[in-house]
Amino acid sequence: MSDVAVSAEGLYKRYRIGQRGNYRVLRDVLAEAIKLPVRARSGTAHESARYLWALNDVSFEVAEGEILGIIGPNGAGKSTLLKILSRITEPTEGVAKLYGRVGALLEVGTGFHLELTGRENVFLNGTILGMRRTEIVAKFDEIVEFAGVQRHIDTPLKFYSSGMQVRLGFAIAAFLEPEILVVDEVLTVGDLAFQERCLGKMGEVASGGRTVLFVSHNMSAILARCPRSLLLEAGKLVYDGPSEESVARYVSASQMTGGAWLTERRKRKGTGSARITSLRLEDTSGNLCPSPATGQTVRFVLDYEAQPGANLKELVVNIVISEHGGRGLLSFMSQVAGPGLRDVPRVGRVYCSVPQLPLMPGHYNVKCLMVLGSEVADKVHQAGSLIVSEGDFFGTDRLPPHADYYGPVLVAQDWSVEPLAESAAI
Amino acid sequence: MASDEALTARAPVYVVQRTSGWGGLGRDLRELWQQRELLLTFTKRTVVVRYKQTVLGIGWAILQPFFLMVVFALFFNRLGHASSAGIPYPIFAYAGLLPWTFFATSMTQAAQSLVNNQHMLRKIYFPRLIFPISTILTALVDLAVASSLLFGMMTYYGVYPEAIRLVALPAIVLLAVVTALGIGLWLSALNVAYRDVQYVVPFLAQAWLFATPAVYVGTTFSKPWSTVLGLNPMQGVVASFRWSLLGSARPPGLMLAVSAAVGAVLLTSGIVFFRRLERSFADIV
Repeated sequence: MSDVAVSAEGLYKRYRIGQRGNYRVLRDVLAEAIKLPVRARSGTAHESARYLWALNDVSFEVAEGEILGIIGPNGAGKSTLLKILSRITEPTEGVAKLYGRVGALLEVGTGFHLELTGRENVFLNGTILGMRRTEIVAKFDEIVEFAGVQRHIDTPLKFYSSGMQVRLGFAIAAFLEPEILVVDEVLTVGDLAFQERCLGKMGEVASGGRTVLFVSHNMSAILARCPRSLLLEAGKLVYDGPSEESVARYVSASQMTGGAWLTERRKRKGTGSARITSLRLEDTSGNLCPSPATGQTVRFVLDYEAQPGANLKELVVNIVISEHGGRGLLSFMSQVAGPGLRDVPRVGRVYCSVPQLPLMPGHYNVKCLMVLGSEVADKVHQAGSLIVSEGDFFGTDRLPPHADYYGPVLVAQDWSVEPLAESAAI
Repeated sequence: MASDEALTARAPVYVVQRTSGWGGLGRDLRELWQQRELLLTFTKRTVVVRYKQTVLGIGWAILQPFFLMVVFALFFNRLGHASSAGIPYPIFAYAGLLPWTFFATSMTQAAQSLVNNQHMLRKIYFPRLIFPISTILTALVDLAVASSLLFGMMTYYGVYPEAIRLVALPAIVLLAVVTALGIGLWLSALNVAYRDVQYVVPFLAQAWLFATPAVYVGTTFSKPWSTVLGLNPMQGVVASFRWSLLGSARPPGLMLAVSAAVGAVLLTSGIVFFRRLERSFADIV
């Protein structure tokens, strides 16, 4: 058994809910700063304020050379965990011991400056990521070649296309050689082939005895790279074990979840005159359908609750299926597809039936939005993810080979052929 | 996964936990030293970026105090007949405006340094002190460039310093750095929680300029009062700067000692305050 590289013991992280600065006045900050450290922190009036535990008693160990996946729905605490391990923020309680130099990659191209040239930015970003100058000099040509920007390396970054900027950022990161590498879901931007090359390069890093902690929503990447994964949910570590099992639990537990999940969602917009309390997917017999098949008959079930006195004349519900990059693919819109939902109850349940789910097998994002009166009452950008399994859409038992080239959306279609009059001239 | 025996013997490179009190200062300073390359890279970036796409480039470092000097020479000296202690007024004013411009630029830029880089605060860790310190190094570069004009003026007016007094110059600049960093640490950390700071800083700089004898003679006060004036560390800096280079005024003595003490208090308290708020920067910025 190899040595431990990372050991986390009872990590907690607390955030205050609501607008920052509401109850924190200058006087408090100054008082807090000069308060003698020996004095125990007594319970103050602030304790009654509402808090949210982004991490709630998380403990685990990672062995040296291990590649550990971290998965879970949005808001589960994955990013908070990475931020603690990379020392960006402190845990409220608990200890994490790091047995090696940590390199964190929570974003591609941190610190890039548009006015500087590609060359200057390689040095800047490399140094920020913790590389020594001599190290960057030694790897410089490789980095530039890997990014494929040799011809523009002395051009200011502002003249680069966004794709080139991302590639340069990736290339620098790919040559990072810390003992412990912490990677957030930065690898979802940029073009796919290039991402693969970067992941491959990082894989080499890991096979060189380095430890990697890898947060992703891409289940296939997790399964391919990480033998073991942590599953986080609402700040708690709910499973720690082989990735097959973690992914299976994640897929069954978190896809289009029912219950109170959305009520606790922090990241949402809208006036709040009504809230979406849950959004789930059911099959024809009304059972939860965690992983629907292509072509299956399903329905979205959305529960909402409006504030007393809200304008209930017309309710508009939009459910948008999008790619992980955020590009919308398909929408279900109550005001477009029919007469609309009028004179609705204050607390109610909305159904949207889909006779044939027109999505290729794959992993999608679901956003939902509710309009009451003429205002956006509630908008949840990442309400859940949707994993579609293989199914029979056309009744032919056949599907396009893959979604990358042929597209992720299917449409019922009729094909026929008829003879044309042959041209006499030929 | 890892067995118990793996836990033994090795000490972790770093332990992440809630820090409390004043502890860990030694570790922080050691880290700062280890990251000196980053500090220099940042400073270089700021200098380069500041003068990119300007025609005059780093010449602006000279022109800013120069224009100020011209304005003050017109209004104070020509119209207001302000005394300049027997030294030609332009060089008198410029020698005061040099350390002043350094200080004002440092303070203003340092106050913004964390907020301007908030994106980095949230995405990567390195000692946060690097941000305000690098803005002060940047201002120091400007100071060095702007000094060249002073030396030119000294030749033109035939004002030559005594070599022995020049020895004190680095220490005087150091006091300006200490003061600027001290106030910069306070303001930058406060600015993270309260953006009000960015509106207060310009007024602070203006008021401070009037309280500092950058463009007028500060030694018109009698003995005990001139010492009290030293409570403004820039008073000591400007007076000593002139004393060292132009050799006019009496040696600042006690007033300088008061200034140095106040500067040291500002820096120490600034470091303590900054470190206490530092742990929450990423969460509240």
